[in-house]
Amino acid sequence: MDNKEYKEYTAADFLNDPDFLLWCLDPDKREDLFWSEFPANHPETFAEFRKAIQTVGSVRLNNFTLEEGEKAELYDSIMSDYRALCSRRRLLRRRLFALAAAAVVAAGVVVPALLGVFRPPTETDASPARASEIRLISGRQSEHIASESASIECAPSGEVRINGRKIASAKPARMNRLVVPEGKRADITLSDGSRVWINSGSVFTFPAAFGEGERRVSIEGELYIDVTPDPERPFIVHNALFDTRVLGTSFDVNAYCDSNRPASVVLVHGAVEITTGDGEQVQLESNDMFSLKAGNYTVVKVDPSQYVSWKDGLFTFSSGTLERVIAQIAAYYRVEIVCDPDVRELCCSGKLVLFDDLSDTLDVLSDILPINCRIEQRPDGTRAVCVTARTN
Amino acid sequence: MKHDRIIGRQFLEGNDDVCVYLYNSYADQLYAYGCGLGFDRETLKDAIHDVFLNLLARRRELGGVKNIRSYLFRAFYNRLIDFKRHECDTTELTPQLDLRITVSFADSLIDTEQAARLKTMLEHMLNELSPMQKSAIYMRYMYEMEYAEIAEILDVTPHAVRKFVSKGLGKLRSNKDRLLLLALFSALTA
Repeated sequence: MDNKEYKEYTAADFLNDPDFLLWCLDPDKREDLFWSEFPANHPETFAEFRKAIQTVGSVRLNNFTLEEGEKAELYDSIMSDYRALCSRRRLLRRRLFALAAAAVVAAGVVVPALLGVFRPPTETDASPARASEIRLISGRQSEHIASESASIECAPSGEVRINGRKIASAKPARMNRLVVPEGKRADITLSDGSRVWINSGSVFTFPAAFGEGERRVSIEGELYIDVTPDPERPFIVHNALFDTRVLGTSFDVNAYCDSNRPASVVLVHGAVEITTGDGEQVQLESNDMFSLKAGNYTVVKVDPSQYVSWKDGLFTFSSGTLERVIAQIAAYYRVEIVCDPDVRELCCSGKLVLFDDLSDTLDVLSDILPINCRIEQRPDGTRAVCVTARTN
Repeated sequence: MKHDRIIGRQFLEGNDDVCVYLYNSYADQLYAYGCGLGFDRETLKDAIHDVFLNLLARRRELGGVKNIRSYLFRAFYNRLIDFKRHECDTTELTPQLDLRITVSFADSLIDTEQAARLKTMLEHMLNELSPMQKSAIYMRYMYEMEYAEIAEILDVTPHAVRKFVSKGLGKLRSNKDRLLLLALFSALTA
């Protein structure tokens, strides 16, 4: 090592030097002394030295990834197969109990053997009703909120209230998770005063109290946020596809993890900077909408009220067709809606209130437009809506 | 890391919603690992699908699992072995999969000629190691896995993993002079 003419070294020379490379990849005690003192001993080559270190630092082994769209699709297929598996299991269990009951009536001795063969699971499933409630998860604790919407406040001390009721204080730095299932909504005031509205079908992760550095939250789904300005602490909304960084402003982030909906950010006022998974940075101004689909993004000017009215429980439309309104309602309440062809093109303009109860929303719609909406209960337990022309 | 452990525990306790976090964290890592093992995209997607589905379905039986990631990697590796077995139709007891290391650079500002030379050199250095040494160094460098985690994935003891890493690096050092020649050679032919 000492025989070399390090004075003349360029970054390229360092990278061709196995001694240097090996030190970068795995510092050995003997070498470490030599190389860590190198900058002091050879100040003239410091810049090149640092450049070489940077190069080695950026080495990636097998840096292969799935494309975002592919990755999301694969996840969807995993989850739908899992749900299918769960329904099959439930069906099997029901049959088992029916069978066992029959056996008891017919011949008591047979029952134990039957149960042995089918091995009924010992755990108790979380009932579907509980799974569709809003819940706030903090460490091992889980608070369920039975109402259709939840209002959460976080004090700077870390104290958390749900709908006015104080819950056991979580450790301030701990990340909490707010799960808002389909058809539900929540709003939350964070410890710095920032207000966040969470749309249905979303999971929002946040600390009970922000610390000194960055203020960081995560969303899978959609949120609208009014960030309290604080130049000392940038606010970052993270989602699976990109990070949105602000100092203090109001904007909407839409990032559901399904390939049908492009992820987007709508900026109401202020300025944000978005950093995508690839490291690209995009700056937005007021009324800009950033839209990301399959790795490509666009930025267009929009009327933000159309995209953020959901937070007040409204949809705003201007000369949309009924078909479009129906699509929004179907997505929000997660129900299937079948619309007669002759009413699809009816023109709609204005604000539609999203009531907690789907039938209330449909009632209003049927008052304004010449249509009938009927909710039916399907045999598998889900609901569907039929929209037809009103004949009277 | 601690965040992962909390999510892992919640997942095992029955929380479905955090599955997406596990998936987003680990699907790409598994995919990259599988590419190194020489499988094509569709096969890898199938394997990832099967592994996560199995994880979701058999959650209750996994109470003893301390580390979800190493469990996933191991299950993934086993699934790929199954695929290989069907494909090859050999009587070999357990096909051994060799990890191939492909070097790339995260920093796009690097001089391309320099990058190409470094890539050749590093790939040569690393691919000459034994499969176990290679895998251990790869997981340690790319995923910063603990020795215990790597041990579970490779189905050896943590002590063995430590030896793989140190022996592997030792081999790289002792081949230093050959590397110097290699560097000169690539410089000449570039």
